Amino acid sequence: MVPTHEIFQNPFPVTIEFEEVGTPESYRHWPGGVELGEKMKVWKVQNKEFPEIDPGLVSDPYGFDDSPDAEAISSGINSKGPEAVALGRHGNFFLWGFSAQPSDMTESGRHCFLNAICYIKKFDGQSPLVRKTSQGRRWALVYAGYAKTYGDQDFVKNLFPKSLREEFGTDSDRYVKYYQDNLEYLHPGEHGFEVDDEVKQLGVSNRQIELLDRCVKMLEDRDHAELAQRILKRYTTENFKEPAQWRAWLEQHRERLFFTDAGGYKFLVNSQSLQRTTEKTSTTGGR
Amino acid sequence: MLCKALIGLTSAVLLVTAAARAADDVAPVKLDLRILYAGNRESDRAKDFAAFLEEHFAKVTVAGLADFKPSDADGHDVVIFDWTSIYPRDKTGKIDNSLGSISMPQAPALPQRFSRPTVLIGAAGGQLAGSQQLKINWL
Repeated sequence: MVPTHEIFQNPFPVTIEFEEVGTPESYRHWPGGVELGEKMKVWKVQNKEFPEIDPGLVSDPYGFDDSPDAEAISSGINSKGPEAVALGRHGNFFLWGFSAQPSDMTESGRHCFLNAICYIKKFDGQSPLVRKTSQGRRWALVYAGYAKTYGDQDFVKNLFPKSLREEFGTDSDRYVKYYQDNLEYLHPGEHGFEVDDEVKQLGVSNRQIELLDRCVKMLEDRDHAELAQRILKRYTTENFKEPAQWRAWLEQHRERLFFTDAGGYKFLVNSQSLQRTTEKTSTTGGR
Repeated sequence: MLCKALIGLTSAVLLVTAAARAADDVAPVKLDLRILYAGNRESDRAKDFAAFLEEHFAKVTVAGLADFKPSDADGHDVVIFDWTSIYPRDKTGKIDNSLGSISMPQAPALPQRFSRPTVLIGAAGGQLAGSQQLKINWL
């Protein structure tokens, strides 16, 4: 949760009083869940709960805020993991994931809802910069957990490259360690997530701009130029032939480049000016 | 002594009342925003939302979710998509999934260029988000 976010501040005051609840047991199966304490701090948003009212809606947290047009603001108690997004924005769309109607919200919940309406008004005309076409790489860790719980089921086989299945079988811990160790080199493969060995051999994350710097320099120095060209084409939407063209593009857009897993494992150029106000989230949320 | 005690008590009550009024005073401000609420328009839920929004915003229009067209957003600052419960319920009104399947609302068709500020709530939001390839999705 980002308590400093505008929707918790203006124009209506939102008095957030945290209370402690037991950490849902289902959270333990999700990335980061094991590290959570016995209790979580939560802010009460509504006075009725499932099954009295609908359970609401949470969104995929992995890659949610990997583009400047989106921000995860708060999670909420749910069955989809501690980071699932209950309050968030993508472009001109604001997710209010809680299901209560106003008369069933708490006073602070009602004020926050009003603030969310006022906040999204600022994004008039700013449709999403990226569309969700891929899963964020942390899903690899979720799948690794599936190997423990559902290891003998067919669908799990499609979640990992054949070579990994042959090596690790249903040993969840080995999958987890492998994907954690290689998180910065992952990209979607035919079956689950694969390590990009070409990027790994450079020792640079495939989602850091240093990768572009390194590859453009390699082109300029004619040092493994074919490898550099392949990587640049793989992770950008450009297809320049000459090193000078890559250099010009990189320098022109350097300050506006961002990498998105959810948007297709590409470096894209931010063409919008209004930035999100969210910088980071924690596991505290609403209920 | 009794009078003083009473005076003291009266002062305390007045202070509490003043504090309560101060808290209430922040809520009724009407903001100069025009809101379109598209939901299950004849439902109690829609009426609850409309009444609440009318307390706080200059203009509130209520529309049906399935009938919504992008041009309906013209003349409004923010659109809200919402729907009533999609789950089967028992006689007491509690959700009981053993009684049947969920009943999803028909989401309006929006072009990807739709750029009006929009709040998505619950199932209606989930339906709409999917067609827009949003990061907001039904996990």
